[in-house]
Amino acid sequence: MTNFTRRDTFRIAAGGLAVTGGLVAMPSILQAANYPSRPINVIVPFATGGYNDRLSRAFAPYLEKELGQPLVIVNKPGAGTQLGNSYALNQPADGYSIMCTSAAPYIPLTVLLQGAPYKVEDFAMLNLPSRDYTLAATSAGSEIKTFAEVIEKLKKDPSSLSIGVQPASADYANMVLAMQASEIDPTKLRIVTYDGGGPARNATAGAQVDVGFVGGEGFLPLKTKVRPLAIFAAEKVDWYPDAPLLAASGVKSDFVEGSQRGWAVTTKLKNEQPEIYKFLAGAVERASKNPQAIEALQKQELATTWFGPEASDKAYRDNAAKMAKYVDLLK
Amino acid sequence: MIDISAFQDALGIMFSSVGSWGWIVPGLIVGLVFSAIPGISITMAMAIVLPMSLYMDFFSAIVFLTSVYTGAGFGGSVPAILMNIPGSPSSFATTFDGYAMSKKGEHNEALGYALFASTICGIGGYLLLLLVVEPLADIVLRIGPVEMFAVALWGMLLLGSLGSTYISRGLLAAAFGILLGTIGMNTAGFTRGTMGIPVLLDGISPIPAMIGLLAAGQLLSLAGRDYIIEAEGSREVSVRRILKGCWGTLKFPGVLLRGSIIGIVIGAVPGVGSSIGNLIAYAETKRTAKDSATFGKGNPKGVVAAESAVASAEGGSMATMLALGIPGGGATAILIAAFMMHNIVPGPSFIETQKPMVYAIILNNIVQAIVLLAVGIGFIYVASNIVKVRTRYVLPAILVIATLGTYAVTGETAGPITLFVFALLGFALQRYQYPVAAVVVGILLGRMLETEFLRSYQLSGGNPLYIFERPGALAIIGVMLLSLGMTAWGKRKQNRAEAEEEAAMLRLQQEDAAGRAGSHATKT
Amino acid sequence: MRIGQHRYTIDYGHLALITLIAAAVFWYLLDARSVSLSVNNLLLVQPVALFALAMYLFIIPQCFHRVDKETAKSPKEQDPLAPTIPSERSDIIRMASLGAALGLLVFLLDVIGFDIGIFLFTAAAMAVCGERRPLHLIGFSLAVTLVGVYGFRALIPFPMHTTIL
Repeated sequence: MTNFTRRDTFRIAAGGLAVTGGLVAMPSILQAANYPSRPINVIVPFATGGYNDRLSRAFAPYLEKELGQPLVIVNKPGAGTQLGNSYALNQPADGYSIMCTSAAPYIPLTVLLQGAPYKVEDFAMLNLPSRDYTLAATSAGSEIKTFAEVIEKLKKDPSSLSIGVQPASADYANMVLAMQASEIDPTKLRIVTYDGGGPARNATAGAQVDVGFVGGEGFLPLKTKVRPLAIFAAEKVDWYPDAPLLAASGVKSDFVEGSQRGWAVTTKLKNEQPEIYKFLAGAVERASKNPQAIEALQKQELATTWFGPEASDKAYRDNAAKMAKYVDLLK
Repeated sequence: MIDISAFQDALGIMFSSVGSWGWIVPGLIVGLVFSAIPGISITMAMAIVLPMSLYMDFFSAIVFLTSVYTGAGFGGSVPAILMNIPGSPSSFATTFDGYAMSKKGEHNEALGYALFASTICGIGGYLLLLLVVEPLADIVLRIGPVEMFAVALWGMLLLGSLGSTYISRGLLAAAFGILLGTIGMNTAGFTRGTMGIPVLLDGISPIPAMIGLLAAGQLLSLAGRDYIIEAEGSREVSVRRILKGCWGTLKFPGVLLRGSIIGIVIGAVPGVGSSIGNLIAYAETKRTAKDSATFGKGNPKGVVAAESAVASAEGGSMATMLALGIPGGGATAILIAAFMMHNIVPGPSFIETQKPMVYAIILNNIVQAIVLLAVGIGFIYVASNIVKVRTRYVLPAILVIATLGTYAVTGETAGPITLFVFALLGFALQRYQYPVAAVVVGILLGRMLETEFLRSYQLSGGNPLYIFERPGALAIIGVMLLSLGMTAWGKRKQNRAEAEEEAAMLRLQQEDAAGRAGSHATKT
Repeated sequence: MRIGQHRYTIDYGHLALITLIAAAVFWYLLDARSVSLSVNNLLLVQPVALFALAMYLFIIPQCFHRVDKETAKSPKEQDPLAPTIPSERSDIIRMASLGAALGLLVFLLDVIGFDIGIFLFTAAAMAVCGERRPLHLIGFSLAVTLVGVYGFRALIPFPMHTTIL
């Protein structure tokens, strides 16, 4: 099946119902001039309670102020964001649907591994304030103190420690890269797979697995229950200063950046409605720089950094390219 | 254990913010009404009122949202009992005996039983939470894949108590259900059986499938009837009879206790707990009951068992939320979002620094459960009037609500289509005497069975002896086997007693007949 | 049908149902195996599928009834509370038409819109259930449509496609 959904078939069969047909046919300038005249949907392709859901809900009041219209959070979880992404692409490109999502690496991964019926370039970033990194951690009461110890143990016997990780994720790629760099055969490891960052973190904090490789930001509320062993970042991460860098453990390995989360729209909107796109980017910028917003989100450990559309798009596409390079590790 | 000075401070918070108590009743009503609509989940109800709570002060907002949560915990059992439509997987077991009681005209009592079981065990769960909030949260966090796999197996034992004329058909139905439950992407990232349909990547949506399967035989067959309940005299709505059910609950302290323990421990496990706790509590109660043959035919103990497990789980999932900041489900995720909007981050540091506030929240939940008793009776009274409306009005309306409700789950017509497809399947299965409930159990537990089995396998590296390193799992399996063994032993004893009784009766009859024959003989 | 000494009747409906289920299970097993033969993929699916197929073979004989045995069997006691499919012809027709109406509704929701779909379905379902008075039919259907569409629109964050409302 392609992205040509049953709904589309019906629409064509019905001769283009006046409702949708009229909207598309309307001159774009007319639409842009009145925009926004009704509530705007924020599509979050994750369940309630995840980072993006929290970010969208916490940021909404400040963004609403800039947009002059209320925001409605629409959670469309499933299939590693593929369902939510397809849903967003199926909405009319009129600016009444924007996304709050972990754009990278989820969008590239659904394309590379699940054969999702869209391209990485179908999405245009507004701003990706949150930059996450893979964190290798163990439970607070564990005997393991450093990442070097982990490597040493696994070198002796690859099945001596159980490893909790989400398959087909940046964390998985980083784990395999670190193991290969340390000459450990990844196929001999005792890997326990989790279908999300949350369950993998709970398993790490609850000592169900010996070592977990998961996005570090989600660990912040559980800080006292885990011991950080290595963070897969190039320089010290300001939101998790106690986490030692991977390089400090003596493992020399390439790594991919973790989730890049924030605000995005479809490229179709950017191309067809440049005015609306500019308006949205401006609203996100002003809300991100609002001191009240910065203070409120900081307390909730949510990011507001303004990188802007160009820098965010570049980071997103770089991540996609790196994912494509290492896609064989994930299969 | 409980911190006395913090507890006193908590009482202070409670009484100094009496104004926020006013939010309890509106919250409960919102929760009750929303969750009584099939397909509208607690999560959705709370997401809708979340923006409203932004404008309240912190304690009022939390009181309001937790009241919605408390009300919604019970609301789902109303359609389950009156119409055999479980609003969410956690009220599935309530339908077994609840709907059967309704058909007998005992809907008043059934709802009364459900309400009392729900509130009593809700209070029990919160009281325990008050005492051991941190240890409880730690225990929940330590429940790993092996333990959960044991729990899932325990849930599957329910199949044994579903009762079917043909065991083979029950087993086929269950296996088919489990396979349906594993469709989509599994926890290791393999995608099976989706036929290229993207919605199926996440598996078959359980709520539409469940409503479809159950609705087929029940709802559609109402078309030929004038009212949901056939007997005219039974179609009354009476507070007296509701209260009779309420008091009746107190006659089953053992059932309440067992249900609560199962609910607190299993129901609290993040993610999967709530949909399995009620099944295990029901199966355990049925298996250990002397009158197990009447389960599924309107035995109030079945309703009490299922509801007690659902309600007591609320306290448990609140524990993981408060103490660890981990959402046990969608509803607690919204609560965390609400906390954070008031710049309070639940988790270990919150519980250390703000103990009085934690206690105040728990105490308020207990108050809510007590208020729910009164509000709930009113709600039941209003909702029960549905039995007085002719099916020609009720049935179309319910089917429309069910269709819209399944649309509401994901916002796509995939929901209503799932509903319809499974309605057809349910109809065919019922026609040839396959237990539809076995398919539902399979769909609900299939994914969990596979996920936990797979993780246990991965964790152990394929070595079955690994289980001896997990005392928790051993304990669960031990309890399960003990319970099975005791039932088998009890059944044998019972059978023997029955056989003896029968033999005695037979002897008596023979003697009687012989005596009569003898007397006849002497007369003539 | 005759096999040896006995006459048998075949329950074709039942046979069709279980064959359909078995075919689906078999296809699912093949589909899963075509994805990967790794244990991580087949750990539960393969044994359960094989078990289901074994059950299928076990149940097949139940579709064949010996005629003489059948007639000799005493009518079994009916459990009044067990879910049963109505046996009267008029009831079956009602049930089937209600099911068909539901099917039409779910597949046409996107085409004709929620408002028209719900209105037509409610009217049809009421007619099936025995309502004949036109005023009641139209009035109640209209009420259900309005409450349904506006109520759910307020409740759920997803857009609902409607033609008129």
